[in-house]
Amino acid sequence: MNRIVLAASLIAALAAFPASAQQPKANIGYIGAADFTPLFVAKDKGFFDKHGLDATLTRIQIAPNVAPAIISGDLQIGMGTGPNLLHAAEGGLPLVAIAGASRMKKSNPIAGLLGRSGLSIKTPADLRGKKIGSPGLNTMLTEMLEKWLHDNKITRDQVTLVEVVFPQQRDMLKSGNIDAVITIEPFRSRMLSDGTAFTIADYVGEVNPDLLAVLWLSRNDWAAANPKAVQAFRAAYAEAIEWCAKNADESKKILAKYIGFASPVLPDYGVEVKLSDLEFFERVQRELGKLRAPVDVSKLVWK
Amino acid sequence: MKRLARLSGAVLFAAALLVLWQLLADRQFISQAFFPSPSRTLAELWRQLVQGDLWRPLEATAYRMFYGWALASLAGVVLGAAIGFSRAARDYLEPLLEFMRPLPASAVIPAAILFFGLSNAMTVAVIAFGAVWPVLLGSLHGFVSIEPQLADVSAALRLSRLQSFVKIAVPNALPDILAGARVSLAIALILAVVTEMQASQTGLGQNILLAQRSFRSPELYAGVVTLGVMGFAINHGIVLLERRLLRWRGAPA
Repeated sequence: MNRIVLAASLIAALAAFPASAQQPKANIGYIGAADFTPLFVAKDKGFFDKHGLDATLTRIQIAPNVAPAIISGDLQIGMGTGPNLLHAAEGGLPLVAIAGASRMKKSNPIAGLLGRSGLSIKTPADLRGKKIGSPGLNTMLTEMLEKWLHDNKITRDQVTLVEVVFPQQRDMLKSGNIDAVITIEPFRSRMLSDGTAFTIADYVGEVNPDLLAVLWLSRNDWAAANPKAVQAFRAAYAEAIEWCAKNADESKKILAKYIGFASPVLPDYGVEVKLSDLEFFERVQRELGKLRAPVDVSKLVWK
Repeated sequence: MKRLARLSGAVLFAAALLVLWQLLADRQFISQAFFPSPSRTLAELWRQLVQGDLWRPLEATAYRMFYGWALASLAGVVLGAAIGFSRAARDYLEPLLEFMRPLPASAVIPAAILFFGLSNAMTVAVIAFGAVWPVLLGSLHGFVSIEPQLADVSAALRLSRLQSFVKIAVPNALPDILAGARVSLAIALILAVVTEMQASQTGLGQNILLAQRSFRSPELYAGVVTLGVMGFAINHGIVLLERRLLRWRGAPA
C-alpha cells in the first residue's frame, strides 16, 4: 500500500515539475455571443499556444456573473463592458481592462431599437408612454438607450423599461406586451425579416459612431504578476482578429461550433482599449446619474 | 419579568451577531465590494430613508405581497372548505392539487406573463399560486379534523348543515387557517421579490438585483435588511391578529 502511495506521489511530482516551467495558464470566461469569434478562433487555431498562453475557455451563462468569478479567482480573464467596469470600480472591485473585444460602428450596426409593426413611432418623442423591452437593466445597451433618450429630451420616467431576454423578445412584441425593444444580432435580423418589427433607430451609432462594445477584464494583481500572460493574450487575440478578417466563412463556422447558433452579421473586432473609450462611458454615466462620484479611468486600462 | 429576560436575550444575541459582522467586514474577511460592514449598510439605508428612495419600492413590494397573499388565503380557505366538506370535490381535486403543489412558482412566471402581461395582476397571480398551499392544507386539516364530540353535539342540537358549518367547523378550522396564513405570508413576500427580479417590476426585489449588477453591495444589503424588517413586522402583526381572533380559546399554554 505504502509503495503505491510512494509511486503515485513520485509520478505526481515528476508530472508537476515540467508543468511549473510551462506557459502561464488562464481560465477565460465568455458568454454566448458573436462578439467572441476571435476568442474561439484563437483557441481553435492554436494562437494562444503559439504565443505562450495555456488558455481554457469557460462559458458563463449570464454576463453579471463574470466579474464576481474573476474576483474570486475562478477566472483569470473575463468579458465585460465599459459601464460594467465603471460600476465595478465605483464598487471597489480591483478590475482592469486588458484588451478590447468588439466595437459597434455606425457603418455596421448590429444593435438597435425596434418597434412593433403596426405602431407609428417615427420620432423619439413618439416613444413617450411606451413600454420598451431591454435585455438587461443597467447594462451597456440599455444605458446607451437611456443616453439616446436623454439627448432627445425624453426623461427616464416617460418610458417604462422592462427586462426581456433576447430569445423572448419576438413573442413579447407580437403579443403586445411591449411596444419596442432593444435588440442585437441575430435576433434583430430575424424580427425585421419576418415582419414582427421595424427599426426605430440605430441609437448606438447615434450616441457614439465608434463604441467599445465588449472588453476583456482581469484582476489588477493578476495582470501585474503575469505581464507575459497579458501580452500573450493580446498578441494571440490580434492574430485571431486578422485571421477572422481573411477567413470570414470559416470563422462563422467556428463561432457556430462554440455558441450553437450562426450570426449573419458580425460585429467589428479590435484588441485596443483607448482611454477615450472609457472616458466616454464615464461621462455618460455621470450625466445619467449612474455614478455617484467621478471615476479615474486612467487606472482602469492596463498599459 | 420572564418575558423581559427573554426579549433582552434576543436583542443581545442579535447585537452580538451585528458586532461579529462588523468585525469580519473590518478585517476584510470577504471583499468589501461583496460584503459591506453593517455601518455602511445602515448608512445606505438611512440615506434611502432620508432622501425618500425607499418608499416607492417598499410600497410596491408590500402591495404585491398583500394582494397575492389575500388572494391565496381566500382561494385556500374556499378550496379547503370545499374539499373538506365534499367527498366529490376531494376525489376530483386532490390528485390535481397534489400534482400542482411541488411546481415552483417562479417556473409559471413566463406563462403568467403571456396571460396577464407584464403587470401587477401577473405578479399577484404568481404570488397567489405559490402562497396558496400552506393556507389550503391548513384549512383542509381544520375542516376535516372536527372532534367527534363536537359532531355529536351538533347532531344532538339538530343544527342545520349551515349552522354546523358556521358554529362548529369554522371556529374549529380557524387556528389551522391562521397558522397556514402565517406561513403563506412569508412565502408571498419571497415570491414578491422573486417576481420583481424575474419580470422586472419596480420594488425591493428589483432594487436588490440592480444593486447587485452595479456592484453596490451596501445598497444590496440595505434591501435585504428592509426585507428582513418587513418580514419581522408582518409576522408580528399576524401573531397579534391570531391572539385577538382566537381569544375565545383562552390564553395559549
